[in-house]
Amino acid sequence: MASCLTDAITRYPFPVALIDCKGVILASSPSWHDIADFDDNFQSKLEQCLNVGSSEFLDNEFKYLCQMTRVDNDNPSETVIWAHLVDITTLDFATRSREAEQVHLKKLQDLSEMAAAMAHEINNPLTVIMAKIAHIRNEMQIDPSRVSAEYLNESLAKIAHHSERIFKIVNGIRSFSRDSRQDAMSLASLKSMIDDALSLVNPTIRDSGVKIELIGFDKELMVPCRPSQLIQVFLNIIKNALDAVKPIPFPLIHIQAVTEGEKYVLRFSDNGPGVSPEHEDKIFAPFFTTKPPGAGTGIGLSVSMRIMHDHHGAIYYDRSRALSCFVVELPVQNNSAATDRKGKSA
Amino acid sequence: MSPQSKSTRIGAIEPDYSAYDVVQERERLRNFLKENGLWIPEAFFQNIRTGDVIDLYSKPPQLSLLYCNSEFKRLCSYSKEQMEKMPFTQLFWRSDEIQQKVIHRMTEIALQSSEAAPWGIENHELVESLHPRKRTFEINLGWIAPCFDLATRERRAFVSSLKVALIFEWPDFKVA
Repeated sequence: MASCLTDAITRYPFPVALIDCKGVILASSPSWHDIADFDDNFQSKLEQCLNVGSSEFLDNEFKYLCQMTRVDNDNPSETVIWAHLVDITTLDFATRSREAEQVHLKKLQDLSEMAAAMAHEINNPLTVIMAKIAHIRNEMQIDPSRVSAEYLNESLAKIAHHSERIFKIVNGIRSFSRDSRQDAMSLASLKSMIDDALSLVNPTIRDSGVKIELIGFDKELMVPCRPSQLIQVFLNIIKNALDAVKPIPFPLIHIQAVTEGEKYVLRFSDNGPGVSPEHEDKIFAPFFTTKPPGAGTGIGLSVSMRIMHDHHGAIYYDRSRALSCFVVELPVQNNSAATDRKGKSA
Repeated sequence: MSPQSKSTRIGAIEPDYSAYDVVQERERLRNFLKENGLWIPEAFFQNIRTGDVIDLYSKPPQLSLLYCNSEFKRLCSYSKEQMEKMPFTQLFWRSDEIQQKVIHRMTEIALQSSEAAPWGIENHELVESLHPRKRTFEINLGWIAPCFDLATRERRAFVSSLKVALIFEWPDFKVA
């Protein structure tokens, strides 16, 4: 082997090695020695590489992937193996960062779709508030006795009602739009997160006449989570349910929360046609959609699955129920964590 | 509604109904129905009030305008084309609670009932959602009835009567 190659390898900044066909290291970089820690597996993978041309395996601590490639020579006894180590913890981090980016992009996409509707959701009740104020002010200017206590009470109740509605919508947008990629888990109320998700699709709920039933929700029911991400999951499921029930005369969405052993179970049921058996195993695949072109990107449920995975929970379609039903499972909060983190809820 | 009491007068200003002719309104509606092979229960005609807006929409969930009287055209700022092309719910906004009640009652009558009936929903505000000045009306709902195809007896639409008064619009600047 040329000394210049040996010299280059010994100066190489990454963990690489040149190995002969008997497993003897002919040359290696300094970092190879620091890292390489293989068991008996090494010899079998070396033989595999010599036989088939390449092989790869993990080190004892599952931090590095060793990739080996056979380098043939005219003289078979001089065949060598080029080996290098890949830090898979970095790769894993990069993959997770990419996934987090996709979750965030989906959220931005949802927000842009909802922006115009949300503007109306704020401006329309605001207009009714102004209508009430303008009417009372006009009447007062003419003659204060024209405004009866009964009318004033009715109007103030309406103003308060619409103001609360606007407040809820703005809260929903704020909770949902938060960039949570760097957030630590915090305790948040399941009920508040469901309310926030519902407030974001309120125009569709209202204008389709969909009846929403919430069962088993207790304001004290807190889960460790990244709230804006769970709102995103709930929003995806509710939006799909709304699309399914919109053409039905008396549409219904039923959201139930129950505690089953060590987990909270949320069941999102609707009286839509449900997921057909041939689509059931595809609905969580990225870019799968049964909606018409332009109506859905097909990434909502795959993003939801990733978020639930990050939360050590689960999301699945439950065919055993009478109504079409998506289930979200979350681990029950750790008591000590709950005490430590109280007050950080959404 | 008057600031003094829950009278039948709606809106800030008493609307001028002097040009409104109930008999003529009934006749116009009958003619439209006859021309289009449609039929509605007689009780609806008997309960048309002076000043009522009368409109006929395709059955839910389409809700496209099929017919409206001149009172509607006088008050509404949307064009006939807009009203025909866009669903009612995109053009107008009501509060959640009222809208739920309206949709439930409308679905019930349009898809299940054979009779005309009072709406039975309290006075409320209706906003022209897409209007730059968000014109806002006070609505006093009257009666609602299903509309059938005369030949096939299939449900095709529903007809509604309501009193409408403009109560507010933003000053001349765009709000949404």
